[in-house]
Parts: sequence; C-alpha cells; structure tokens
Amino acid sequence: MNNKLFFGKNDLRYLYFRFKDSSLYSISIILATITICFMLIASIIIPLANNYFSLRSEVIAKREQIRVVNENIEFMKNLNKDELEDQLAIVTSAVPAQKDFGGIIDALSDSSAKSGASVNDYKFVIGEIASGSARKVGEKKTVSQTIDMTISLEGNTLKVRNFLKELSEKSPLVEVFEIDGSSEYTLVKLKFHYKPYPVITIKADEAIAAVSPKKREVIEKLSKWKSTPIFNVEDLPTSSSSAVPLF
Amino acid sequence: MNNINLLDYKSKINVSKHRNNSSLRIIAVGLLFLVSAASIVLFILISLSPLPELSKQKKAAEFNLSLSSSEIVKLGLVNDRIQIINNILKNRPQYDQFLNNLQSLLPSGVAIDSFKVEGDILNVTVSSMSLFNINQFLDTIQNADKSQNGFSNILLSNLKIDKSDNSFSVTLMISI
Repeated sequence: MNNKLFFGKNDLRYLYFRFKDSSLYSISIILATITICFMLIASIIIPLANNYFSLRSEVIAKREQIRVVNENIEFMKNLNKDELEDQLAIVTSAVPAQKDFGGIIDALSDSSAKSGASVNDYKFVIGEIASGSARKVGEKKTVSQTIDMTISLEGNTLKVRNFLKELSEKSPLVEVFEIDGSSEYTLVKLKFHYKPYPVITIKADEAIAAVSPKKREVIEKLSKWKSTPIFNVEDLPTSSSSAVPLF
Repeated sequence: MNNINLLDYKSKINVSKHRNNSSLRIIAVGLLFLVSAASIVLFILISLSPLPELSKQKKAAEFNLSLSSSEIVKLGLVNDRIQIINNILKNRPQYDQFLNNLQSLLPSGVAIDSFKVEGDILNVTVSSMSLFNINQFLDTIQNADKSQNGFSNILLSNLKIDKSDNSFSVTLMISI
C-alpha cells in the first residue's frame, strides 16, 4: 500500500486537514508571510537599496570628476605654453635640477664685476655624486640640496656688501652662511641651491594648480635676477695674446 | 467526495477570531506589495544607472587631458620649484643688509677693521684715531632703532688702544 495515500498523524496533509479550518492555520500562514517578507527585505531589498545609493553617490562623484577633468582640459587649452616654458626656465635657473657650476661661475663673475670686489680664490665642495644625491630626492619636498663653496674676496667692506647684495639677486639661488673679513680681504662661505626634479604625478580628476599671482611675482623677480654675462662668448677675440680675466 | 471530512475534528470555527486576524492579513499583503514593488523599482533604477556611460565619458576626457601631459608636468615642476624658492628666500639671512645697516651707523673717521658673521652673531671690530668718534659710534648703535637695523643685542667685547699709532679699536658682538 502506498504510504502517501495514508493520512498518518505525522503527515503534512494530515496536519493541513487537521488545522485548515482553525484560526491557528490562518494566523500561521499570515505570520509566515510576514516573516518571509521581513527576510526578503533584509536579504534583498536592503542590499539592493544600499547598492542603489552607493551607485548614486558614485554617479555624483563621477560627474564631479568629469567636471574637474573638463575644467582641466579647458585650463590647459587656455594656458600660454610659451610663458610656461619661460617660467620653467627661470625657476630652473634659480634652483637647477643638478649642480650648475657654469651658472655659479656666471653669478660670481657678474657680482664681482658689478660690485668691484674681485674674487681671488674659490673652492667648491663637490659633495655626493649625482646618483647618491638623487637618492635623497623626496626626503623632504621643499628642501633643496646645496653645493658648499668658499670664496676669497678682495675689497673693502662696502665692496663686499655690494658683492653679497649682487650675489643674492642672482640665479642659482645662494645662501651666505659665514663671512670672515678684514678691511681688505673677506672669506665668504656660500651654499648654492639645487634640487633634482621630483616625479610629478598627474591626477586627472584633481584640479590643476595654476601659477598664482604671488608665484608670478616671484618669477618676475627671479627673471630680473638672471645672471647677465659681463661679456659675450662670441665677442671674445679668438686669438688673444693676453688672458681674459674671469674676475 | 472531497468535501467529506473523515477526520475526528472537533474544533469550532471562531468567526470573530478571523475578523481579528484581518489586520494581520492587511499587514502581510502590504508587506508583500512593498517587497515586490521595492524590488522592481530598485531593479529598474539600478539597471538604468548612468554609471557605465559616465565611466566612458570620463575615460574620453582623461584621454583628451593626457594630450597635454607634458604641459601639466611642466606646470607641476614650476609650482614645485616656486615652493622651494620661496622657502629659500624666506629663510636665507640677508647679511648684506646687516653690513649696510652697520655701515650706515658709522660716523666719519671710524672704519671697520674686521667682521665675522656666523649664524646670527656678527662680530665687528671698528677703529678710529679719535676716542670721540668711537664714543659717537657706540652712542649711535646703542640708540639705533632695533626694528630697522635688525641688531637685537649688542655686547662690547673688547676696547683696545694701539699706542704705536694712537688708534682706538672696539670689538662688538651683535646678535642679528
């Protein structure tokens, strides 16, 4: 005999027919429905809602990023490329990417010529080789590296003062950290600044920082500080019997 | 045949209890409606999200911007250099100005013999043939406006008379 047809006491059909007309049956169905609904809300509706809201915030963020990128594109379109090149050249001459011995000599000779103080002797402290110093890049973003130098000046205090003033308005930027002088000779210890180029990371969705008016002022000031060679190399006589004095 | 109940069923149907259950039924039906409606609405909202389109737009815009990457790098370098330059200009001592201020305080007949500047200390020795001039210099430097000349503390460290040429020299240690 098939057990399925037998209404045993443990069979669900028995229970169904046993309670189908009782109030307990309808209540249990309603409660089961409510429970399942809550389970669906917890397991499906709430995650879906969270997903929707996170999508919405992502859409808002994406729109903002697109706006910034478009603004950056517009900004770059309107940027004066030639002016940017000039600005980069000026600031790089003020703080070169590497040890600019030629620029240093130019600055010293120019200052010497304009102040009347003659440079008798000078000594560079070369420091670390390029690869060693390059490793230090990024230790501190705003800290530059220096070439230490000692120069011996001949001239009175007034000439020394003029020399220091002239030198302070030259590129590459210099910092005097010690002066030891008498009425005729002065020993000046200097630091010429340089800094290797940092790695510039382009973040498209971040607004590109323009050169602010304050920074422009500094660049304008620096552009006037560029060393003007006291003589043009091309003008030098090709066969001179006497040596051309540097200082 | 189906309507014949052969079971020993003695429970009474309570109609009033059924009525009381109606509120529970409404809640259940309402919840069913809410669940189904919310899932459909959320599904539609999610599937109609403009995010994929916006991602494409962003990629296209980023590509356009990447065409100017060399200028962006140059701009970044300019800003980086300016930051360093400002830092140097702000922190480097202006010794030429201190020497200028010192010279402006020298009366006639007084000359600087030697000077040494290291850090924020300026050691200077001035000499004169006249003690009056030395006194005048000391008076001047003592009464000078500290905020203008930048000399914050002055210490007379040596006063010397050279009998060979009857000159007087004074050494001052000045904090700058």
